[in-house]
Amino acid sequence: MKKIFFISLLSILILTLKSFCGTLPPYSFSIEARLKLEGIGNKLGEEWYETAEGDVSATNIKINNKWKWGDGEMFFLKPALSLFPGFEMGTELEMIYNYADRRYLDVTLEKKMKEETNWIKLINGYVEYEKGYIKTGFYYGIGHGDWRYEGDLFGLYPEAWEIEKYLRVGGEPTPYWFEFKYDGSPHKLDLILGPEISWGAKPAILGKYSYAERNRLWTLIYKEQAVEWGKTEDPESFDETWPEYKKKWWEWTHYEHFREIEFSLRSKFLGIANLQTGLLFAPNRVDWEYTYVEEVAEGTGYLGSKYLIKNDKIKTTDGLAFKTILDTQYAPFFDYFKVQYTRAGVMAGNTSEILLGFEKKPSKISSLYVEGIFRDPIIGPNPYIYEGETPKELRGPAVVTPRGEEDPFTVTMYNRKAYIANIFFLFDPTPGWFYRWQPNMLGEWNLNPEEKGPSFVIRYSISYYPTGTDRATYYDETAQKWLWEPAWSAGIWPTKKPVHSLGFMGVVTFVPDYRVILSLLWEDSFANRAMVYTEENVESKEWPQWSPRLVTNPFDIKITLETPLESYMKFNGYIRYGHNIWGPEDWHREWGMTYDNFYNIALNFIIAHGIETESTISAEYIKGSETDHKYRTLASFDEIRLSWTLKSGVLFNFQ
Amino acid sequence: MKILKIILIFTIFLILSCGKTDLIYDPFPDGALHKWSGKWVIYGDKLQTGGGIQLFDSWEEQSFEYSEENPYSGKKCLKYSWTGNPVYSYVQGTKVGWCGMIFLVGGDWQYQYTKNISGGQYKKIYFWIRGELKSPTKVSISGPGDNKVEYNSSTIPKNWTPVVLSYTTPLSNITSFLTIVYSGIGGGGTIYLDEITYSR
Repeated sequence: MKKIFFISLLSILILTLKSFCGTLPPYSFSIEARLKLEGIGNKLGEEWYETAEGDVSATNIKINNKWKWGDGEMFFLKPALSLFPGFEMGTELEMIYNYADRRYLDVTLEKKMKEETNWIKLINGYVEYEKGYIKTGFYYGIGHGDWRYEGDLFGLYPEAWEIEKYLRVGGEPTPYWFEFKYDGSPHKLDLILGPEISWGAKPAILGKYSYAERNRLWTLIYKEQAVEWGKTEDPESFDETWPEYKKKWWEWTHYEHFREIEFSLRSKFLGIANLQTGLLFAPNRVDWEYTYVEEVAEGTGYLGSKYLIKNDKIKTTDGLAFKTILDTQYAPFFDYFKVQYTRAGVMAGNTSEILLGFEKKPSKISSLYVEGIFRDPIIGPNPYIYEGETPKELRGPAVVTPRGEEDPFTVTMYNRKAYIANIFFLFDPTPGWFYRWQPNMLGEWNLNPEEKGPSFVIRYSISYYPTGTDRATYYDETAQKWLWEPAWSAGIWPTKKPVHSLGFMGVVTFVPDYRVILSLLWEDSFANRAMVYTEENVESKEWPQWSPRLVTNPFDIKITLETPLESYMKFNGYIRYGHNIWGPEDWHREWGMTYDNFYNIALNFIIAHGIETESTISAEYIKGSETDHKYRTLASFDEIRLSWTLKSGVLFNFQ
Repeated sequence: MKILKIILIFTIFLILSCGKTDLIYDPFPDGALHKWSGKWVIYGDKLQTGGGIQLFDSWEEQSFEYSEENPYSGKKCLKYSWTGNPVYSYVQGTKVGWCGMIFLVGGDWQYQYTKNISGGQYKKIYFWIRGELKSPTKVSISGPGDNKVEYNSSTIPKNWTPVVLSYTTPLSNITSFLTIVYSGIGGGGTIYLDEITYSR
């Protein structure tokens, strides 16, 4: 039955002649469909085997592992409807017939669907109405930007773009929210009611009012957010079996709320500079107690030590923050100058930060941007202080531990003490901007698709983190929830000396239209979950002990080729080699999991059939290998992926 | 020429910098006080053993959490429940009629080691307990030695009650701080513990 259903859908797709792409015209209905058929074969390395539970493990015995092949069939259906001018609604459904197991990036939505025998899933949707000054809608599993260019200096509204990752890892569409916008310039209003405005976030409401006058933008933002790790009323009344809306309502009514108000002004300064100034007031967790440690003369602290352990309570003023940004293109000696200063109380970000940036153009076709950042938390992380002696066997009770779930605030990777310098050198003799979205950020996603080159950017960074962190939350993929790191962790360790990073991205286009992109990264890189920073993990243990890497020096090079072969056929592909690189998932770096060597080659042919229907034929080879016999956390494997994707659509106009 | 100079500077930076591994500072030695206060609250509002907690074996029929349900003191207490159904043992490869929870010295079984806490001169463990058990389930709670306390459905206190386990020998070779074991299929129950403390 399932097969017949699938073949029927395929027939509809193939018979479709023309697809609809773009904003839906009024009084119309469109369906976009995509069929993906894939065959995936993989083979474990010769020292690896699959356990009964489906995990992989290593052995001293060489195993003659065989190639295993599987097939996957997925169908995506994306209907959209516009009933009258300004009104539009749409959704996307994914149906699977089978799922092909894979070794690389093996956490997928399709795998979850197959395990749950859930063959059809709604993966996004929206309803939107726009008329005159007003726009309102509900968005489900659709990404959104932030308000950084609309006066939000403190990031109250976070962006959420990694939709595919949220679906793949979390298994459910996110973010989702209601929005009401009024644009009666110079007055603008934006209201958001967000059950989950970013992945894992608890319910929140946000309101932004702005008033624009000549050279000035006044902005007022209010945010109220339910927070999971605070005081919860009647926690036993929560029921995991409830529908999602009921869970979200319970979270809103039972969790502690954080309230934040931001006021900012963007204006011209002396006619030659841009000035942004903001104030934040976040009077949360007032009267909560916290511990901090001061170093004093040896013998005068707790139990005759050098540590004075103090307690204090959160005050209303701890929720105050101030931030200002001044930038100009009329600076002496430089072509651009930027200074940014932030001071935020412990409940408003816990940081004191200054950023200085200078840009100098040695010639019309090149620029050098140098940026320095100094950051220091107002109250630093708590050290791990304990009775007894240093060897673990003689270690007694912890007297102070890094802050966590039970504390009003923490120091994280993002506000710990840091000295950072970034240098960017851009060579771009071609017209147009080299970057796509943001200046001075490396990544193919940020490269202007129109950039033909020859042009390149080099980034060199040097960073020093003299102090550690407190504990943090992390996403446990196995348990599918966010958890706090345990209290025995001493936080992420400080660096002994400055660490370095070098990045390169260059573009060149050969005649007639062969665009080649070269990306390169070489750096000192750290595991970023505090709980892997233990003495045992400093010295890598010999096989078969599981031993994460705390520090690695990844070298990663990728060459991408993009070209139109014919008017109806395009080709793109890449070759990538990585040495000592982190695994592809967030938790791989968190847990210190690396590939000693990684090889990847991918080829895609995109063939247009008619005007809008196209098919893509893809072939990919991936190889991950462990060669030093120390870090046996990511299995060695070979994988081949072959796929064919057919995409098409139809538009009906019923006016 | 300028461009070549800049590229040369970047290259020198690179050669001088990347590829070193001795980059992080171990903060644990700095934290040693080299003295003992004689009191160790291993669980107050958070686990303070320096180790982890392990359940025997499968989580399917048992649950453990730091609960906000009427703690004896502070914000949270420790809650440990068993449904009373057999629990899968990964070691034995079959379901067994008991389950348990252990406060380990190490982070988990893989990082298990022994600990010498005789410097603290601890003579007793005390804690507060309350709970509910259904017959025939029993629960026993023990420290590092043989000394233990056992409850059944009629003896388990419903309100917070103090318990003391005394020791005469130095605790010089321990692998766990506290062990809780449920037994007796068919009943099940929940216990709450708070302020679990080693003292002189």
